[in-house]
Amino acid sequence: MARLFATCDAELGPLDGPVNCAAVIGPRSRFDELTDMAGVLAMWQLNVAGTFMCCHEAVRRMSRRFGGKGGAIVNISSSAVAWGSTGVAVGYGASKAAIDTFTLGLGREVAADGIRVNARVPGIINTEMQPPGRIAEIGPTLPMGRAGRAEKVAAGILFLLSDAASYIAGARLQVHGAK
Amino acid sequence: MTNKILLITGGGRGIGHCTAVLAAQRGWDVCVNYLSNSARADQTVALVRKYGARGLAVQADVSKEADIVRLFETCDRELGRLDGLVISAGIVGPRGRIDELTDVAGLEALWTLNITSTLLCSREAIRRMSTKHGGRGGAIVNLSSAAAHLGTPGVSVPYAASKAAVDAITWGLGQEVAGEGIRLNSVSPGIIDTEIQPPGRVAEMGPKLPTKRAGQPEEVAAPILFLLSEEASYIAAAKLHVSGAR
Repeated sequence: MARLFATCDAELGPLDGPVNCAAVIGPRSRFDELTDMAGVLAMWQLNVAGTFMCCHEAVRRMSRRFGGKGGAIVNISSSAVAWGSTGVAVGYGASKAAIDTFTLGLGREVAADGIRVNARVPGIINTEMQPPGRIAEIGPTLPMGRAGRAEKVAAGILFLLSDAASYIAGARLQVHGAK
Repeated sequence: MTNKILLITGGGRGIGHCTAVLAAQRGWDVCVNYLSNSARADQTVALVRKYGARGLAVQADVSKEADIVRLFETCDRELGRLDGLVISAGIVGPRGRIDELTDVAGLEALWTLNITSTLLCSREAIRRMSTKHGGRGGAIVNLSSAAAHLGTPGVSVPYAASKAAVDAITWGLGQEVAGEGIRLNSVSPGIIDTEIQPPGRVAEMGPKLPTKRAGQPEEVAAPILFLLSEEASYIAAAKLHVSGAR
């Protein structure tokens, strides 16, 4: 992580806005049938500790307390926080709940230092993260009759990074098609 | 290319006014209502027209069903088929502790404008925009408030309760119409520097906020326009806080 940020500094210049997209669902099963505990721990490490460490590097570069010029951070939560991912991956839902609380807490902490920290909360989006067949199966059952497109999630992220969101901090933007 | 048509209740003042002006810049024709202050609504319409959009101000008390129906019918007739609604008209209602509350009529007026009117304005928009009713879809944005989750104890618990009702409307009604081409969402502003605030509150509260300042109405109008736009095409029944981390 430190090398990633240092390389970005060297190659592109001072950072204005990291987006913490990297995440995995981890082992999929009912909780009581879970056997791959190492896989769950790896999921926690990437989803929670990864976001945490990335924000740490970013805040120390962008915060006015550290001589930075401010900036915006977007973390990725999930509708799984509300659903719990019951029967599928309860650990994943819990990892994203950690992101929500972290976003709120850090968002309040650094709001006066010129950094806006927000979370984008996708519902079921048609990306390669979904298991084969899930979009075709679930899409028609959703309120809007379809899964979301990654481009519109990206549009929400760009909105949160933009000046149009200048008073949005510590907030969650749901892009979940009413579910 | 013809403009889309947006109706903004309470569009003569505060966040509604800023939303009307920004909407005109983004290619919306705008209808606003006013209760009694036609001069303010005329100013909003003049700015809308300055940006090359059509503007219309209609006298209508949106706490009355007949006026709401007439407002929408006038908008139909003068501007055309509705594409979007922003429900910005709202009041704070009785302030202070509940054990000292005496203004029960004020409480009734609060429920009527902030809740009943939100439902009736939504009804009129849904009847026009829903594919179930032969419409071509559209977007609705409700104005909620950070008060809905803060509760604002000792200051304005009734207002917080009315906005919690708006949140439930956004979630429930948003799901109800999501499959009919209508995206219904809400924004929840924190302390915004508009005339809805009592004198001195922005100056007093601003430095205590996480951002060390109150928000400006333009900073709420921009997220409202984002929610109305195609960029937000998978955002429905969602609640967006614009509260500066409060």
